Amino acid sequence: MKSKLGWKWTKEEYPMIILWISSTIFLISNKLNLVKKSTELSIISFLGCISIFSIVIFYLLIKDLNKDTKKKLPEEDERTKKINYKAKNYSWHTTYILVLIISVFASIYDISHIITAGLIILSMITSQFIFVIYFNIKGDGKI
Amino acid sequence: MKDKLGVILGIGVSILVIFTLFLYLVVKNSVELFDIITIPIVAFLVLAASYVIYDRMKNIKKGLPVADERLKIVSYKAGYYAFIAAIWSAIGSNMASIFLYDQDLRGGLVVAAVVLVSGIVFMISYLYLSMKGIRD
Repeated sequence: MKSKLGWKWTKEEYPMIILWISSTIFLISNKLNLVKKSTELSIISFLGCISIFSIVIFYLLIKDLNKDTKKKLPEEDERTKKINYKAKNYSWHTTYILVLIISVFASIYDISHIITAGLIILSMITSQFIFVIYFNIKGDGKI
Repeated sequence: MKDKLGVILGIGVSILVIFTLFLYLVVKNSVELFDIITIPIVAFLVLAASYVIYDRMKNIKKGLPVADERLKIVSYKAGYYAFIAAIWSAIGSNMASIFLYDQDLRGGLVVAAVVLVSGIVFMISYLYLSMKGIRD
Protein backbone atom coordinates (compact mmCIF):
# COMPACT_ATOMS: atom_id res chain seq x y z
CA MET A 1 0.00 0.00 0.00
CA LYS A 2 1.27 3.41 -0.95
CA SER A 3 1.59 6.35 1.36
CA LYS A 4 -1.11 8.94 0.71
CA LEU A 5 1.27 11.83 0.20
CA GLY A 6 4.17 9.67 -0.92
CA TRP A 7 6.84 11.68 0.89
CA LYS A 8 10.05 10.04 2.10
CA TRP A 9 13.02 11.87 3.56
CA THR A 10 16.34 10.83 2.07
CA LYS A 11 19.67 11.07 3.90
CA GLU A 12 20.72 14.19 1.96
CA GLU A 13 17.61 15.97 3.14
CA TYR A 14 18.19 15.72 6.89
CA PRO A 15 20.55 18.74 7.02
CA MET A 16 18.07 20.57 4.82
CA ILE A 17 15.22 19.93 7.26
CA ILE A 18 17.34 21.18 10.15
CA LEU A 19 18.30 24.21 8.08
CA TRP A 20 14.71 24.88 7.14
CA ILE A 21 13.39 24.64 10.69
CA SER A 22 16.24 26.73 12.11
CA SER A 23 15.88 29.41 9.40
CA THR A 24 12.12 29.58 10.02
CA ILE A 25 12.66 29.97 13.78
CA PHE A 26 15.44 32.47 13.11
CA LEU A 27 13.25 34.56 10.79
CA ILE A 28 10.38 34.63 13.25
CA SER A 29 12.57 35.37 16.28
CA ASN A 30 14.45 38.17 14.49
CA LYS A 31 11.34 39.69 13.01
CA LEU A 32 11.56 42.91 15.03
CA ASN A 33 15.18 43.54 14.10
CA LEU A 34 14.51 43.03 10.43
CA VAL A 35 11.65 45.49 10.12
CA LYS A 36 13.16 48.64 8.69
CA LYS A 37 10.86 49.53 5.83
CA SER A 38 7.25 48.98 4.95
CA THR A 39 8.37 46.81 2.02
CA GLU A 40 10.28 44.54 4.35
CA LEU A 41 7.26 44.34 6.63
CA SER A 42 5.11 43.05 3.79
CA ILE A 43 7.82 40.57 2.77
CA ILE A 44 8.09 39.34 6.38
CA SER A 45 4.31 38.90 6.49
CA PHE A 46 4.55 36.87 3.29
CA LEU A 47 7.40 34.82 4.76
CA GLY A 48 5.35 34.24 7.90
CA CYS A 49 2.45 32.93 5.82
CA ILE A 50 4.78 30.56 3.94
CA SER A 51 6.32 29.41 7.26
CA ILE A 52 2.94 28.64 8.81
CA PHE A 53 1.81 26.88 5.64
CA SER A 54 5.06 24.85 5.55
CA ILE A 55 4.70 23.87 9.21
CA VAL A 56 1.15 22.61 8.56
CA ILE A 57 2.32 20.55 5.57
CA PHE A 58 5.32 19.31 7.56
CA TYR A 59 2.99 18.12 10.33
CA LEU A 60 0.82 16.29 7.78
CA LEU A 61 3.87 14.61 6.25
CA ILE A 62 5.20 13.47 9.62
CA LYS A 63 1.75 12.08 10.42
CA ASP A 64 1.77 10.30 7.06
CA LEU A 65 5.29 8.91 7.63
CA ASN A 66 4.31 7.55 11.02
CA LYS A 67 1.42 5.72 9.39
CA ASP A 68 3.88 4.10 6.94
CA THR A 69 6.28 3.07 9.71
CA LYS A 70 3.46 1.44 11.66
CA LYS A 71 2.48 -0.54 8.57
CA LYS A 72 6.16 -1.59 8.02
CA LEU A 73 6.17 -0.30 4.44
CA PRO A 74 9.45 -0.09 2.44
CA GLU A 75 11.59 3.08 2.77
CA GLU A 76 11.11 4.33 -0.79
CA ASP A 77 9.56 2.77 -3.89
CA GLU A 78 10.48 3.60 -7.51
CA ARG A 79 7.50 5.87 -8.06
CA THR A 80 8.17 7.90 -4.89
CA LYS A 81 11.82 8.25 -5.86
CA LYS A 82 10.92 9.53 -9.34
CA ILE A 83 8.32 11.89 -7.94
CA ASN A 84 10.87 13.29 -5.48
CA TYR A 85 13.34 14.00 -8.28
CA LYS A 86 10.66 15.47 -10.51
CA ALA A 87 9.19 17.66 -7.77
CA LYS A 88 12.60 19.03 -6.78
CA ASN A 89 13.43 19.72 -10.42
CA TYR A 90 10.16 21.63 -10.91
CA SER A 91 10.67 23.45 -7.64
CA TRP A 92 14.15 24.54 -8.72
CA HIS A 93 12.79 25.90 -11.99
CA THR A 94 10.00 27.74 -10.15
CA THR A 95 12.57 29.25 -7.79
CA TYR A 96 14.69 30.40 -10.74
CA ILE A 97 11.74 32.48 -11.95
CA LEU A 98 11.10 33.75 -8.41
CA VAL A 99 14.78 34.65 -8.02
CA LEU A 100 14.53 36.92 -11.08
CA ILE A 101 11.63 38.77 -9.43
CA ILE A 102 13.51 38.95 -6.10
CA SER A 103 16.61 40.32 -7.84
CA VAL A 104 14.54 43.23 -9.20
CA PHE A 105 13.16 44.01 -5.72
CA ALA A 106 16.60 43.51 -4.13
CA SER A 107 18.14 46.09 -6.46
CA ILE A 108 15.33 48.64 -5.94
CA TYR A 109 14.70 48.34 -2.18
CA ASP A 110 18.08 47.02 -0.98
CA ILE A 111 16.55 43.97 0.73
CA SER A 112 18.72 42.33 3.41
CA HIS A 113 20.45 39.01 2.79
CA ILE A 114 18.45 37.25 5.52
CA ILE A 115 15.13 38.06 3.86
CA THR A 116 16.44 37.13 0.39
CA ALA A 117 17.91 33.82 1.54
CA GLY A 118 14.87 33.02 3.69
CA LEU A 119 12.48 33.81 0.86
CA ILE A 120 14.40 31.57 -1.55
CA ILE A 121 14.64 28.65 0.90
CA LEU A 122 11.05 28.79 2.07
CA SER A 123 9.66 29.16 -1.44
CA MET A 124 11.76 26.23 -2.68
CA ILE A 125 10.62 23.93 0.09
CA THR A 126 7.00 25.00 -0.08
CA SER A 127 6.85 24.59 -3.86
CA GLN A 128 8.54 21.20 -3.50
CA PHE A 129 5.87 20.04 -1.08
CA ILE A 130 3.14 21.30 -3.40
CA PHE A 131 4.66 19.49 -6.41
CA VAL A 132 5.13 16.23 -4.45
CA ILE A 133 1.53 16.30 -3.30
CA TYR A 134 0.33 17.28 -6.80
CA PHE A 135 2.22 14.46 -8.57
CA ASN A 136 1.06 11.95 -5.99
CA ILE A 137 -2.56 12.89 -6.40
CA LYS A 138 -2.54 13.44 -10.18
CA GLY A 139 -0.12 10.61 -11.01
CA ASP A 140 3.54 10.87 -12.03
CA GLY A 141 2.73 11.38 -15.71
CA LYS A 142 5.46 10.84 -18.28
CA ILE A 143 8.46 10.29 -16.02
CA MET B 1 6.08 22.70 -32.50
CA LYS B 2 6.43 22.88 -28.71
CA ASP B 3 9.96 21.44 -28.96
CA LYS B 4 10.94 23.93 -31.67
CA LEU B 5 9.57 26.79 -29.60
CA GLY B 6 11.65 25.65 -26.63
CA VAL B 7 14.81 25.57 -28.76
CA ILE B 8 14.10 29.02 -30.24
CA LEU B 9 13.46 30.39 -26.74
CA GLY B 10 16.74 28.86 -25.55
CA ILE B 11 18.66 30.47 -28.43
CA GLY B 12 16.99 33.83 -27.68
CA VAL B 13 17.91 33.67 -23.97
CA SER B 14 21.52 32.65 -24.78
CA ILE B 15 21.92 35.57 -27.22
CA LEU B 16 20.43 37.94 -24.64
CA VAL B 17 22.85 36.74 -21.94
CA ILE B 18 25.86 37.05 -24.28
CA PHE B 19 24.74 40.54 -25.33
CA THR B 20 24.27 41.63 -21.67
CA LEU B 21 27.67 40.20 -20.73
CA PHE B 22 29.27 42.03 -23.68
CA LEU B 23 27.60 45.32 -22.69
CA TYR B 24 28.68 44.84 -19.05
CA LEU B 25 32.30 44.29 -20.08
CA VAL B 26 32.28 47.30 -22.44
CA VAL B 27 30.71 49.69 -19.88
CA LYS B 28 32.82 48.51 -16.93
CA ASN B 29 36.21 50.23 -16.75
CA SER B 30 37.99 48.12 -14.14
CA VAL B 31 37.83 44.38 -13.55
CA GLU B 32 37.17 43.37 -9.92
CA LEU B 33 37.44 40.07 -8.05
CA PHE B 34 33.66 39.61 -8.33
CA ASP B 35 33.92 39.84 -12.16
CA ILE B 36 36.83 37.40 -12.28
CA ILE B 37 34.74 34.82 -10.40
CA THR B 38 31.36 35.36 -12.03
CA ILE B 39 32.18 35.98 -15.71
CA PRO B 40 33.80 32.54 -16.32
CA ILE B 41 30.82 30.87 -14.57
CA VAL B 42 28.32 32.76 -16.75
CA ALA B 43 30.41 31.96 -19.85
CA PHE B 44 30.46 28.26 -18.90
CA LEU B 45 26.69 28.27 -18.35
CA VAL B 46 26.09 29.88 -21.76
CA LEU B 47 28.45 27.43 -23.48
CA ALA B 48 26.87 24.40 -21.80
CA ALA B 49 23.35 25.66 -22.59
CA SER B 50 24.38 26.23 -26.23
CA TYR B 51 25.68 22.65 -26.42
CA VAL B 52 22.36 21.32 -25.04
CA ILE B 53 20.41 23.46 -27.56
CA TYR B 54 22.68 22.26 -30.40
CA ASP B 55 22.09 18.65 -29.34
CA ARG B 56 18.32 19.20 -29.30
CA MET B 57 18.40 20.90 -32.70
CA LYS B 58 20.18 17.83 -34.13
CA ASN B 59 17.35 15.64 -32.78
CA ILE B 60 14.68 17.90 -34.30
CA LYS B 61 16.41 17.84 -37.71
CA LYS B 62 16.46 14.03 -37.60
CA GLY B 63 12.74 14.02 -36.77
CA LEU B 64 13.42 12.58 -33.31
CA PRO B 65 11.86 13.79 -30.05
CA VAL B 66 13.93 16.50 -28.32
CA ALA B 67 14.53 14.41 -25.20
CA ASP B 68 14.01 10.68 -24.68
CA GLU B 69 12.99 8.99 -21.41
CA ARG B 70 16.60 8.65 -20.28
CA LEU B 71 17.38 12.34 -20.85
CA LYS B 72 14.21 13.32 -19.00
CA ILE B 73 15.30 11.33 -15.94
CA VAL B 74 18.80 12.82 -16.25
CA SER B 75 17.24 16.29 -16.32
CA TYR B 76 15.12 15.56 -13.23
CA LYS B 77 18.12 14.24 -11.34
CA ALA B 78 20.27 17.24 -12.34
CA GLY B 79 17.44 19.50 -11.19
CA TYR B 80 17.43 17.64 -7.88
CA TYR B 81 21.14 18.34 -7.34
CA ALA B 82 20.63 21.97 -8.39
CA PHE B 83 17.82 22.22 -5.83
CA ILE B 84 20.12 21.08 -3.01
CA ALA B 85 22.87 23.43 -4.27
CA ALA B 86 20.46 26.38 -4.40
CA ILE B 87 19.38 25.88 -0.80
CA TRP B 88 22.92 25.56 0.51
CA SER B 89 24.25 28.45 -1.58
CA ALA B 90 21.50 30.72 -0.20
CA ILE B 91 22.86 30.13 3.31
CA GLY B 92 26.50 29.35 2.49
CA SER B 93 27.18 32.49 0.44
CA ASN B 94 26.49 34.79 3.36
CA MET B 95 28.31 32.57 5.84
CA ALA B 96 31.36 32.50 3.54
CA SER B 97 31.24 36.29 3.23
CA ILE B 98 31.16 36.68 7.03
CA PHE B 99 34.05 34.26 7.54
CA LEU B 100 36.21 35.59 4.70
CA TYR B 101 35.46 39.34 4.63
CA ASP B 102 33.69 39.90 7.98
CA GLN B 103 30.71 41.59 6.34
CA ASP B 104 27.15 40.71 5.31
CA LEU B 105 26.25 40.25 1.67
CA ARG B 106 23.68 42.43 -0.06
CA GLY B 107 20.41 40.73 -1.01
CA GLY B 108 21.28 41.04 -4.70
CA LEU B 109 24.54 39.14 -4.22
CA VAL B 110 22.76 36.27 -2.45
CA VAL B 111 20.48 36.03 -5.48
CA ALA B 112 23.53 36.04 -7.79
CA ALA B 113 25.16 33.26 -5.74
CA VAL B 114 22.01 31.11 -5.89
CA VAL B 115 21.61 31.60 -9.65
CA LEU B 116 25.27 30.91 -10.47
CA VAL B 117 25.94 28.03 -8.06
CA SER B 118 22.72 26.14 -8.75
CA GLY B 119 23.04 26.85 -12.49
CA ILE B 120 26.55 25.44 -12.64
CA VAL B 121 25.60 22.39 -10.53
CA PHE B 122 22.65 21.71 -12.85
CA MET B 123 24.76 22.00 -16.00
CA ILE B 124 27.68 19.89 -14.70
CA SER B 125 25.39 17.15 -13.37
CA TYR B 126 23.28 17.19 -16.57
CA LEU B 127 26.34 16.83 -18.81
CA TYR B 128 27.99 14.27 -16.51
CA LEU B 129 24.88 12.11 -16.10
CA SER B 130 24.03 12.21 -19.81
CA MET B 131 27.56 11.03 -20.64
CA LYS B 132 28.02 8.49 -17.83
CA GLY B 133 24.40 7.38 -17.46
CA ILE B 134 22.42 6.87 -14.27
CA ARG B 135 22.55 3.81 -12.09
CA ASP B 136 19.05 3.87 -10.54
